[in-house]
Amino acid sequence: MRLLAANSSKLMSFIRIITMNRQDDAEEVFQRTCMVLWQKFSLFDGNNFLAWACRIARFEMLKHRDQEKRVKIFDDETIEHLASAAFPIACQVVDRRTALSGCVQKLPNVDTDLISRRYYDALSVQEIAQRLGRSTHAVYRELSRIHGVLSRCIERSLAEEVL
Amino acid sequence: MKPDNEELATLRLLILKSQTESLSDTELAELNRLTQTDAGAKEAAALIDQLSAFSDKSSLDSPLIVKELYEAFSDHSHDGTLAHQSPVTLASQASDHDSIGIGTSSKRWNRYNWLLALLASNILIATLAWSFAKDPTNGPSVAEADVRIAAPQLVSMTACVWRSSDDSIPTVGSSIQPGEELNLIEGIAEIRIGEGTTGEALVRVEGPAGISIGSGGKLALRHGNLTAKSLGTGSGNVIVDCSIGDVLIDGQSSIGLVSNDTVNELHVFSGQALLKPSQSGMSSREVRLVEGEAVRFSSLPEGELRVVMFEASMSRFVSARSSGFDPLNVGEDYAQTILESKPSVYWRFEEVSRDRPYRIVNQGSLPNMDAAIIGEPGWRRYGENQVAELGKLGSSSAFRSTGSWPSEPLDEYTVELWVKPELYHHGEMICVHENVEGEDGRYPHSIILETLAQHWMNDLKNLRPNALRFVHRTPASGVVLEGSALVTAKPYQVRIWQHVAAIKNGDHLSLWLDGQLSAEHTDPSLLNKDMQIVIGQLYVSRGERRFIGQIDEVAIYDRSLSPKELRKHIEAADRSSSSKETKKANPIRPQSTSPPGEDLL
Repeated sequence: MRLLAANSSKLMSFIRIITMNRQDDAEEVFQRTCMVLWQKFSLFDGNNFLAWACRIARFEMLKHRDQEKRVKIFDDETIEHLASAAFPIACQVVDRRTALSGCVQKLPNVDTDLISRRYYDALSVQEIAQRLGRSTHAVYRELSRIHGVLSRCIERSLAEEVL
Repeated sequence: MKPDNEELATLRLLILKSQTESLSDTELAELNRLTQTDAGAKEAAALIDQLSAFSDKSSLDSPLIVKELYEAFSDHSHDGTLAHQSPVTLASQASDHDSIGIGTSSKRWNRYNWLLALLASNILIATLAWSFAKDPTNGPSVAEADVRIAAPQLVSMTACVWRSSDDSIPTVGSSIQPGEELNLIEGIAEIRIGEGTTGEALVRVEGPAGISIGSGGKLALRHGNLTAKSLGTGSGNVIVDCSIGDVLIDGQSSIGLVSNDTVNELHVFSGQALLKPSQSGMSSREVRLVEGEAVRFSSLPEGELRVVMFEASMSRFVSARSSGFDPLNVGEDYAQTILESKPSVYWRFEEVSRDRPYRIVNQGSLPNMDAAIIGEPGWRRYGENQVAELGKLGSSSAFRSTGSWPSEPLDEYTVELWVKPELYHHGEMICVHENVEGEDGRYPHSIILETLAQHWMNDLKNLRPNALRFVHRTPASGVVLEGSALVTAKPYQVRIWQHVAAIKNGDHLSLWLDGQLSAEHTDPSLLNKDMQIVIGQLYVSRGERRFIGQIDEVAIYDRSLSPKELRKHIEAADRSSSSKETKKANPIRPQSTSPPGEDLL
């Protein structure tokens, strides 16, 4: 069980990705996953606890979303793809956070300003659009572009660390 | 830099949009198509990870990042006012369960909120860690023991927050060197000392506490609580230093230590331990304790020391309790006492009906008010008494009433039960909500009786952590802060049975914990009629905010019980002796000061 304590932040990062960063879903799936890990720990083969935990989390997420009545954004096949991509990201969560903070500081002021309004001030896209006198679609497009820049910057930072 | 792919830009835009608003069928199909490519999945995962980071703006692993991000943001003031305002603006009204994504939840799903889940699970893990500890029978024999003493090692942490004088934060696996001092603000830290020697032991420090390592690797408790389990053999080979002297623990023994400014206690749970007093003015006599014994040294204002022998109590130590500790032995006498109070609903959980739906038969007066089983609740037996065990399986485990309650709007009611939470968490003991399901699958609540955990940034953040909350909400609603909320003056206890009563008497609401008035409020609104009762989760149809622990003897009345009746019920459960023991042990602890309104019975 100490393995879980040591890997819990990575496991939670994985779960947050596959649940689209939805608070209640992530908490629920995490709690369910912990229970299953606890119950089935005797079945753990001793190799790569995090991978085993993430497989269970993915399964628990699929079960959880089946019980939900909300519109499902991703279908099961998409979840499979997303989970495959989420695992290596979750493994690097600490390094990625560090890289992200560095990348935010490298953004042009106008981009940092938009990110700041959206996430630091917690303004909605609609509110930002109103204040800037632009359409919501334009704000989404700008945010999409900036997130793309940040993603590339993070990948580059992580690659440089390896080198 | 690679040019940004147009499709990936569309993918990101759709994900961002999905966080705040519904996507059309066409957009959903496009989003799924794009994410099903390798590049798309990677892009989507990376973006959602970014969103997680921005909505946390922190993580346990890298607390400095929040500062860096804030600083990066704050350096870019845009309109002169926004950049420096509080980073979090909570929605004034938010639903009990937000099904919308980050757009609304980014205001509430903030820095540490997701850590609640980690906290809950880790406390659960803490319960198990003791049993997963190294099997002493597999340890090295005395003959094999190395004379060199290994430095104490931090082997596990449960929701630990440390205060460090030199910016170094202890990590699992790290050794604690002689001279090092550690201050644990909260959580439980497990330390292995004397590894490979006859003095090997597992020590669990309960925050807030301070420890240090002396020469030769000897552990010293500066303040706070700890438990220690000796894994070696022989007499007195495990030594823990505290302000009253050295505690020498025999092999295969377990003890608990309490140390604060005025009081020091040694409890022996199993085996034997010897206390060698060191304080000047204290009796120089050594005190040897055996299993079940405890000794307390209290400093009196005159500078004298009072020594009292009493019964060892695991309940004083969070890290030593197991779920099976503290039985609830209630039988027919208790049931008869409850029935004399004429409950409308009385679920004892003694047996499950043999016909479908499987249910607990109501022994109260209201017809068609059995408790149908949802999912797979567990059961635990204490002597003749069986209790329901909820939340321990991956699937749902709860109960729902087969009928509605009350039949008429009520000016008075009482909800009474026995509860033993497994851990500090946000879980629903009893919910009363409307029968009609909303479009989003939720139901407006009239009554909520729940266990709280530490909430950092959501609407419950200002409530007392680890307390019980009773909400009376008319009109029924799903909005978190609507209605009248009563929060107990002191935290609930984990793995200890507690008697809980939520009472409405006219316009007076009250919440009682173990027969003591813990919170009051005024609310003249009547309880609406024809409600659904749910035990163990938020809604009848979904296993959310599940209660983890044991529940028994749920009784619901269409009138307010008097304090005298509550006391009679508690005494009928034969809990008076344990209450007395608690009262006997607690007054010496500063944090156990009775809140206003206690002891009214």
